[in-house]
Amino acid sequence: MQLYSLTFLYLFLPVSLALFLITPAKWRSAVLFWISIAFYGLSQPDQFLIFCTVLVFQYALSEGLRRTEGNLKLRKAIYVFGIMENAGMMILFSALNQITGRAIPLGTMVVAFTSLGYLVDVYKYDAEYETNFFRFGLFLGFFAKLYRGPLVRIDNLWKKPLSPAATPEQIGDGLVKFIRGLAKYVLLSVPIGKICADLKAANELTVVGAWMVMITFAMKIFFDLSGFCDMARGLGLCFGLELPKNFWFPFQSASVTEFFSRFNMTVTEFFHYYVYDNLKSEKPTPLQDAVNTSLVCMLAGVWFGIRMNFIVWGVYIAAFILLEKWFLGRYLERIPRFFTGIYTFCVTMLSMVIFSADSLGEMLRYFGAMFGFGANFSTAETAYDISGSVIPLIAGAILLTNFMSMLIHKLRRRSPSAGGAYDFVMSAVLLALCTAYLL
Amino acid sequence: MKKATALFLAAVLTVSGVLALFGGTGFPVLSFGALSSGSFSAGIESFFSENLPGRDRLSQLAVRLLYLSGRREFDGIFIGADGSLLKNIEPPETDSTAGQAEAIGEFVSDHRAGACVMLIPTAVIIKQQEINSAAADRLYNQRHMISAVYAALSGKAVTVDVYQSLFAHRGEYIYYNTEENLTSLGGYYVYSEYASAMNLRVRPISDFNVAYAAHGFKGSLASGALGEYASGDFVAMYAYTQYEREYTVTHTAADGTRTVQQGLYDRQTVWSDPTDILLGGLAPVTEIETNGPYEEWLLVFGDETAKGWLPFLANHYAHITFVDLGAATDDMLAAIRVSDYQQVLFAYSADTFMKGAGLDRLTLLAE
Repeated sequence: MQLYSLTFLYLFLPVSLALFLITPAKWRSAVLFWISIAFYGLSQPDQFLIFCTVLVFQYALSEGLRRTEGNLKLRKAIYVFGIMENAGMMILFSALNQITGRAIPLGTMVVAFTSLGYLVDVYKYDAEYETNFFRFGLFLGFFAKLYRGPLVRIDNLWKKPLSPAATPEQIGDGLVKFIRGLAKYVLLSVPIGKICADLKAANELTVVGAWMVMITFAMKIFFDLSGFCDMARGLGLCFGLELPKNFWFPFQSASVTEFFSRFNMTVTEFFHYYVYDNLKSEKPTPLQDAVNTSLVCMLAGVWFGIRMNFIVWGVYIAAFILLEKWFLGRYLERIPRFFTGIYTFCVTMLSMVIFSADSLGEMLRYFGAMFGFGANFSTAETAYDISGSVIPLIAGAILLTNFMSMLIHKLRRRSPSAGGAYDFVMSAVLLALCTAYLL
Repeated sequence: MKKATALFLAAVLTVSGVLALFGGTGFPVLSFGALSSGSFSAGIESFFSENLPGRDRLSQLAVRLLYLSGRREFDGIFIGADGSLLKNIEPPETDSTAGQAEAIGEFVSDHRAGACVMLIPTAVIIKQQEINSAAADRLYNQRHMISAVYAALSGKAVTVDVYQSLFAHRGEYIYYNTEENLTSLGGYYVYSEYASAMNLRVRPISDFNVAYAAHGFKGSLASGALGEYASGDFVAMYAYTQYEREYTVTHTAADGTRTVQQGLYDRQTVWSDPTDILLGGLAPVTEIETNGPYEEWLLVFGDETAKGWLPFLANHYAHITFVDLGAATDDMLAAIRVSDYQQVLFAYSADTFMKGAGLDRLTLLAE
């Protein structure tokens, strides 16, 4: 069972929501915790024990820190151990994934990063300890955010208390958001990913083919990440948790700096807060700035897994951010947004070559083909692969921009009831389409 | 409106789930083993996939949308321009065709039998002009695989190239539109090639009367939502007219039950697979006895393609034993005396052969 499975849609979600709603307010966090555990057990039975152990261990670390308030040395030792343990967990599972091909257990990165942030916060007295085990477990392992986040900080998650939430309005909003996220994944990310895979498997790499591989790869990643985040945010609302937004039309950015701040926002903010802000000085030298920015970008790459491509991708993005900060920025401000958009689009598409390549040779081959070196412009095979799924490509291209969002926003402003009707109809249609595709 | 949306969506999810749970069948049994292995979750998913209210209409909707979107391949099945459904075949991860050829070679040397091997290409490669040329370029090269197997068997068995003949007749009705099998006409061309290779007198097709049955049926490839894009099929029954012949077909099921049928075709029974009209279908062991002037016995190891060409071969042998190595039991195989047969034929579709065809079980046969 996964978030995008029929079992979840038609059995797990209605049952767990009903269970949650009939539970008295004071026990809701416990019930939601057990719902999360049950979800994990059904979706990842082979990694279930690892997950439970990790949650208990992280709680033990938190309690260890809390109970050694008077013993600074021991407290520091627990803190350092906790940091190393979480970093070690990410490295271990990423290494196992690369060496043996064994899948990284669901939620490893989310739990490890969330826990790292929590340890820093409570160690530095920036946040209060979460002493309730169930609430702590939910903070780390709420089932909906285990896939792709968003990343949350303890004081952000509990801004609003759990029990009074989950009103019918909130559940309505939540289900609409969840279905929208589901549609992004099922109707866009998966079919576009298939085009990308077909184009990659083509007998001949052409200029159009290479660009389309990168464009479809970027779309697949975007709709995958934002789809899962929307699902998490929607389910969060249904269960009374308000999770933050993670994307804000990144492919419409006018600079790479803007792109980075609008793509996987909670992750970027996380590293900015815990790394960049901690390292920066009053008057940083250009070298310090370069090192700090590169570190944040590399860590944002590591979020996807500890692989050389992701780290190099971070360095590439950092290079453009620094270039824009020191030199390009002043020119970009004077250029019409349309052209800066093209510049950002090209830079980010080229970054996808680094992000997606399986080897250095493949990376160079794609860079070469994109600029026409040793590659034909296009072939019938390229056209065939693209023509196989035209509707998802067009719909995806439109949804990468804020065009639809603006239209709906205008509609809501003019007539709130028309906006509500749109949500109603669109959710019903998308639910039917997602179900049809999942069958 | 938000309340109404919440109520509506929650009701759709709940009611659909409840209807599936109470109206459906095959909900998996919960056990610790099933839960920990993940088979329980997989079982529930397939339960919902099978039992969700309106599933057929929804599947059709998905296929229609994908079709409109330009897709012509669905789960490895191409929709051909002529209304045929063509199943793409992919080679297994590890190439075992050399092992299969070796098993045949060992069988031939162990039994000193005169053997013939015939690998039959599937529709997708022969009718590749019906799909997009770019997609056709990516098809698995069945011809290359067949040539490699024939080269490995050189000097050990007679090999029959049916590829060229089928390709030459690709515009004719030689494969069913909605089944992964040869039609009787396709079977005739295969028979012709075999008969030529074995120096048998090829009967011209004009020597046969043809009758038709099961008009417009749609086979297994069209069982999902693809049916509306496929043309219907029919079954052709060829009857030899030059001399009076009587055929007795005996089917032996895996549990040992034997059923006897007079004639090569059974139009009386209502078959779930209409192509079973031919020979009354194929059992793990199917025997055909003919009262013709011939005395030779033929042992055939084969697959479903035999329904197309075996009726034609029946005119040339006194007794044919067809064995499905994948379905026959150990006892059935042990009971076959290879020395009783003057000729052994291995005849498989390229797809079955790639997947093993059960040839590793040849060692179970008696002398």
